[in-house]
Amino acid sequence: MRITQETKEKTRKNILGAAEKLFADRGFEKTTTRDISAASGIAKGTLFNYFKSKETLAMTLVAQAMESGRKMFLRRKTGNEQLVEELFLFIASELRALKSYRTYIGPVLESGMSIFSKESVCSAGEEAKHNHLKTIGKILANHGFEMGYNSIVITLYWSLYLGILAHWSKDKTAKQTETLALIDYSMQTFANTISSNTAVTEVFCCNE
Amino acid sequence: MNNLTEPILNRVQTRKIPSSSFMRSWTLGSSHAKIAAHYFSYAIQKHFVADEKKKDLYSHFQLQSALQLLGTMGYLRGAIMKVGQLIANLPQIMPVELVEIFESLQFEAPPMHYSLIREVFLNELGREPEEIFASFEKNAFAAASLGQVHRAKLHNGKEVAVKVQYPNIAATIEADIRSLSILFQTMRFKKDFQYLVNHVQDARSVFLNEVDYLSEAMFMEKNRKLFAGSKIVVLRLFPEFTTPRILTMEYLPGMHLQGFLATNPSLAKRNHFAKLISYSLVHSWFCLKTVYADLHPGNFILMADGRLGFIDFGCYCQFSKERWKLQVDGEMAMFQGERDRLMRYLAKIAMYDRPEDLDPDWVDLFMRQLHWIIAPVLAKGPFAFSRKEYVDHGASLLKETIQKASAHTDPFYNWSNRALLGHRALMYRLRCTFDYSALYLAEMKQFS
Repeated sequence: MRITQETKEKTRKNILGAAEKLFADRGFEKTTTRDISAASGIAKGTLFNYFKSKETLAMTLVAQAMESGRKMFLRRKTGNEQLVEELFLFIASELRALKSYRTYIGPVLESGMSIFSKESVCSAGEEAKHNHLKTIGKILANHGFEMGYNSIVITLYWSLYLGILAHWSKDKTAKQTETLALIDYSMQTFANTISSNTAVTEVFCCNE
Repeated sequence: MNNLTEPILNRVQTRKIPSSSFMRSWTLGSSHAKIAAHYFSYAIQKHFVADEKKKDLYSHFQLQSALQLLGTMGYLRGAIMKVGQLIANLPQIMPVELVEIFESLQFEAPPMHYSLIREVFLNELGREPEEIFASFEKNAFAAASLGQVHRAKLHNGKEVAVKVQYPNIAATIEADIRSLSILFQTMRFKKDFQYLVNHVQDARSVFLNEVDYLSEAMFMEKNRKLFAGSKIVVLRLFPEFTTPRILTMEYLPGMHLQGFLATNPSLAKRNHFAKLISYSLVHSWFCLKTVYADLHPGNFILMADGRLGFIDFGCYCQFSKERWKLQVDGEMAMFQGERDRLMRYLAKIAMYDRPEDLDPDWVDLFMRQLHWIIAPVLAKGPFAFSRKEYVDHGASLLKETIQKASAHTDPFYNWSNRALLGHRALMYRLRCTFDYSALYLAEMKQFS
């Protein structure tokens, strides 16, 4: 029997929905691909036709959330933000959309967006990274900083961003307020670096 | 913001709260080192310049140091910033130029940008400021030690002031206290070490209580009822828009002390506000049995119609029943000149079992300090708070107390002392002369 594209898409959505529920109920570690297949009403082997691994599946969920975070950012953006403010708004909106994945985002990102691999092992992760950095590129361009996708500035940003995600995933403060301070601090540092803010040193050189 | 403070404030705006103890100690340490270096450079240079130039040089040194410290404190934003506010309340210890710069710290701390404010709102109230209010000003109009204040309008047209707390400020205060405790470890073999630890722990609990805006709201509400119908205005709260990190209250138009003094007001006007400030402090002391421990100029609004706005209730301490009894007993002994009873009070304040255990030098200093504090009450008539001898005497006693640095006291005494010194400093700044004695004794009689 030939499976239509529509059926494929429906099955894919079912798997994602079942996985999301199981991850939330049992936790990422305790959920197996067998559980997900059973909850989706498909054979275990069929699951692998859609997703290579549990991590890839979770990364797809994360990538979807990142995309809805990006849309949330575009809705919330007023157009009057300063660079730091706009970067902050983008990351904060994304984290808001990622909230239900916070506790297991660490292992997912390790396999999907590892800082050590140039190419991601997971296409969903690669796409999410690409879309995220494309938005960052646009924000920077809006503020007069034209940066290539592979520039060192973008690499610096990505390192900071993954650091923020890593901290957020383990942040035990109420409503993760520590992460809010970290995003702000990181983006201030980033903005200072790319704008070569040397005025501070000059002030103190003159005073001393 | 003036031309001198602007570069520093711009600089600190590009920094964020360093929450870890190590980072904060390092920042503070480096700032102290720079101030010491400035002073050293002044000390050397002054030997090589003429007398009139020495004065300029000294002012220059003070300004540099204040700016450096201002930058650091704005950056640290935790309990250290509260120390800065305390310094601003002691004009005799600090030259006037520095007091003004420190004072700007109370109103010009580095702001949070609006995206950050929106996140705090979503976390606390689940909605964006624009969804809650008919309008919300994106830029803060005042900075508080633990946050900043924005003007907004409710949907019914009422103007409000919304205080928003810096994220994670409690952790920065904890980090400050940890740093302080590490520094204190070097003194752990001193005989009074445990008392020192008690003071730090006490400060920690008071500052952390200040982090909870709901606690402030409760105390504000108590005071609003207390001062209803008087010339003291305590802001009305909007509990539906108030959380532990956001405080929404009515907006009060008027000036802070610095602005008021800049209008060169008459003695009658200065006396009027001095009386109201004194009344607010003394009345809440006797009626609510609380010490309002953060008596700095930024917490009052001097209104054009002659009323006084009392606007910040974050830092207060409540007398326990036992401690209040001790306080009243001590005050009666002071005013009635009963030495034995007073000595028993001092023994308790200094945490000894018997008056015989008291250090005579400490008693001597304490008694002189006490006489200075109660002088306006004993005057039985108008008292000139800015009289040079009175101010100089108070400053020298304070220096002596700091040099003697006895930790062997009840931590609660710090707060009542801080409130009294804060009051005297405000009276000095207002250069007022009025019958404080009548005001104080009437309140004391009525409520003791």
